[in-house]
Amino acid sequence: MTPSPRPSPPSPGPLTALPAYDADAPALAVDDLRVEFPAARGRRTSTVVDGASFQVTAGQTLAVVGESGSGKSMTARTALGILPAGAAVRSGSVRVHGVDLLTLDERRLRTVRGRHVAMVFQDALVALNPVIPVGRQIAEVFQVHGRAGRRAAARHAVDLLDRVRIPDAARRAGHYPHQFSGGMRQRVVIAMALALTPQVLIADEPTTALDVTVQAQILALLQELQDEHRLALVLVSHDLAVVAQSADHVAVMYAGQVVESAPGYELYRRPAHPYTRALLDAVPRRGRRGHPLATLPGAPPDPARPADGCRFRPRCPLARAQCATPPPVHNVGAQHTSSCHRWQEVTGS
Amino acid sequence: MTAEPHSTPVLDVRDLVKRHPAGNRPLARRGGHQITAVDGVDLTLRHGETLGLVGESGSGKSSLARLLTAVDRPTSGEITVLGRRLDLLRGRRLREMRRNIQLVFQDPYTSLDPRMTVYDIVREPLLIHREVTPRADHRARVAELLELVGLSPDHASRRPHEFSGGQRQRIGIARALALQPGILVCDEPVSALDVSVQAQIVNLFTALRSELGISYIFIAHDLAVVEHVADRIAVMRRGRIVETGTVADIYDRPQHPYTQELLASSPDLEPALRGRAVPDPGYEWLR
Repeated sequence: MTPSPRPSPPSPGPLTALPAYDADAPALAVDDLRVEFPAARGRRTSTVVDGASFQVTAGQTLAVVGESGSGKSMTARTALGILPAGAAVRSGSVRVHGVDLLTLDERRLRTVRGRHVAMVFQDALVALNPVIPVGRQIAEVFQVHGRAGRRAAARHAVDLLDRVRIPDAARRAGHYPHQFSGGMRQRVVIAMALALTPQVLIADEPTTALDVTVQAQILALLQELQDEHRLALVLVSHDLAVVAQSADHVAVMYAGQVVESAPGYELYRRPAHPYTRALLDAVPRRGRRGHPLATLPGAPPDPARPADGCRFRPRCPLARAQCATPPPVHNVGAQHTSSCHRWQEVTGS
Repeated sequence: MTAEPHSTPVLDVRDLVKRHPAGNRPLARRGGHQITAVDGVDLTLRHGETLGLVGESGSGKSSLARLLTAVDRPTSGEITVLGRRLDLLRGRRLREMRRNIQLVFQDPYTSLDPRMTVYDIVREPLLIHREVTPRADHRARVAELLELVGLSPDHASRRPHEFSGGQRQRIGIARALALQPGILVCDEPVSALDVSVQAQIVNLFTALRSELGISYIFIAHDLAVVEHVADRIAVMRRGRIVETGTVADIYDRPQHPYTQELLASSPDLEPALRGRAVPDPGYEWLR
């Protein structure tokens, strides 16, 4: 298929028209995804996402938790087809209601972004154009997708700012990004993401740059909007404490792999992977003052030189000879999986 | 937990004020429009004590840190370090006094010069304050400092980019300790680090305190981290300290509405973990 040189070719039609579309399938299902930076100029191949799988249904919140370099953001970006230059998807699928986005061409992918899957990033200042009033930036979304004329789009934009609880929305629509506080700016970005009523909203560290009181407000807002729109919400975070209140299900990533996946209440109370358990113990907790924090020795592996077998082996206090073979995914409870040979010792059962 | 009871104040701050011209446009200075970053702060740090300073961005925490370390000079007010008025000192006397109160920065990525080796970075303060360590002993002293913060003396010949975030923060701490300061002002020293690494650095601060008898001003926005390291807490908002108290006062019986709001919004694992046998063998299982 040759790309059309015209600026606005007719839209290739909604995802719902595709034969693979299944309204009952999960809103987003990532299956055995592998993303690499291929070897180049003396650099070895880096596998940054290595067989990650998870899914989220409408009205649910999935938290994808991991430290820097765990591949959590890379996985999230694949769902929008916005991988950084040089990164390539090697295998796996990313399905939105049954349709594999990795098989779509760029033109159709463009209609998926915003309309089916939208994303909110950590830094709202970078996501907004500094020289255009925020109302016009939101209105543009409608115009580009051919959803409304100028006047109607401007009206919709004010509605959206109102829906993300920005006070005095009609006046604020005329303001520039720098005139908003960090929290208000993140609300503007969320409004923009919701413009085309997507089914899936991916929020990549949406509150990391914000103060705690503002962070609590933004998390509450995401939760409210999710209820109103029956959104499938993917919350990408480095912090198990931040997602503790809102996640229905948590996927813990380490070195490009999902090492444990469990319903929220289950993961915190009965972690079944030594990495999850170490992370939980390393978080300073209120009311545990005076105790030294548990630390994890070492640092995550270089994605170009992963350990054989279990990736966590070099840092794991439970590692034995068997850990040199890749651990299978064990079912350790209802919707609870762990990729650890010795998960039974971790849960203490 | 500390070697000596917290009695003698090592740092005493009275009615400290810092005003900046609003914006850095030339006319702003002339217009007389000013921002008050620090607005009448009183605080006391006793020997061997850790004072946690919490507040949100723009509350004046970092401005206060810069005043305490004499990076910036106050508009008015008094700063007394080890019995001497820091705010009145100039020139050589000020330079000598700075030895006693050192700053640890938030971002271990931008606060280390990428072209310098670890040896040069940690040794730099010794070249400025020549009276502290004789030149011939520099190599041994740097090795000692690296070991103190949990690095290997072999790391001295490497450059910052070869280290992870947590290791870089250790380098920054080694540099801050080079002059044997009595007081360390740590401005968000762990907020750029991953959770598992953050715990290593928090524990390092605690260990250094009992080993070296250092007193800390520990600035952070994460209330759970501060609860872990501090003896007393000062809550800052809009340039003022709105509440001061022991850790138990602030966390268990917060008085000021703002402190209450901060505590209510701070993310906490505790509710999610309820029902989990907490330190069954606790963190000991990791050892």
